[in-house]
Amino acid sequence: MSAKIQELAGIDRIIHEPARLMIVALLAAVVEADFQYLRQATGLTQGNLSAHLSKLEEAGYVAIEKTFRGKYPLTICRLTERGHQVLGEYRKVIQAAL
Amino acid sequence: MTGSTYRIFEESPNAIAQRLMQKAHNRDGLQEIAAALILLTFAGLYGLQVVSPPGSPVYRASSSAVFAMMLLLVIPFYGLQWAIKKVRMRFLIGKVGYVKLKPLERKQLGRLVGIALGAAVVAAALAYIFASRHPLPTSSLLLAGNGISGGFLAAVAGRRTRYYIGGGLTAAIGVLLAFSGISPNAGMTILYGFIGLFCLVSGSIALSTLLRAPAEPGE
Repeated sequence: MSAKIQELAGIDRIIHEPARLMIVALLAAVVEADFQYLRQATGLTQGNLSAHLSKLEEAGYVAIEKTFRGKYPLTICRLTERGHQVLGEYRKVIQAAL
Repeated sequence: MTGSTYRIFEESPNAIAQRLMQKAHNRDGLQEIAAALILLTFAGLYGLQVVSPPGSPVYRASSSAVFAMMLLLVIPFYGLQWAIKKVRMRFLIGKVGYVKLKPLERKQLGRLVGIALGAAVVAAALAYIFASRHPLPTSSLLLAGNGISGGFLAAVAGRRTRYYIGGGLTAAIGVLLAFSGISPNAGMTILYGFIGLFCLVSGSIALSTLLRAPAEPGE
């Protein structure tokens, strides 16, 4: 049991932050979502969401694509393979420790 | 994010996603307006059976229509879901955003069917226990069951204050009608009529509030 708790020390801190965990969890449950949808669903401010998405993109967990739907500009976000993998590992560590 | 942070580590990532998606999904009121259309159609058909003499062509046509709608409910349900998706993409994308959902997996579908069957068995057992203590006609039990299960489903599916209020009222009205001794058709007309109107009003308020809100700039 103590070894499992010790694993918490090595937990991925990028994903462990509550706002980023919300974003990653949400993106894991859908194929893709745009910036506006993520903002509505998470309740984060525009600046906050933008900063968290940038961190996730830098880490390679989220892929961001700018596109258009008719005249409406869309910033589409998807969880990458690496993002799915990291979320799976995070889930295992948390479940084992708690 | 306020108010949700404290829960974030108590839930699994799947539960977090489901909770957030449900809230976002019901924000524009379109789901309620769609549900209202189905419920008010049912109320209207039951109402026709109340005002027309049994055996008359109108009575027979409306009871056949109720039966057909119950059997084919999946068609208007999916039809309305398709329409909601189109309306959102065409008119509301700037307000509600864009999301592409994953198709329902066989495992998830099986779980949903299992939950529905389990709930039906529990409801039938509860109705049996209740009926053995308080002799009520089956139609009254159906009214109460419709109200309670409808109210419960609304609260679970909506996860918003207006859904909790509507769900509570629906359950209370179902139980009240069951004990009132009212005829089954009149009871169903009142019950479905009430839920339908409630959904229509709350959905319309939610939609108009969303439409009146100032457009937020994209990223």
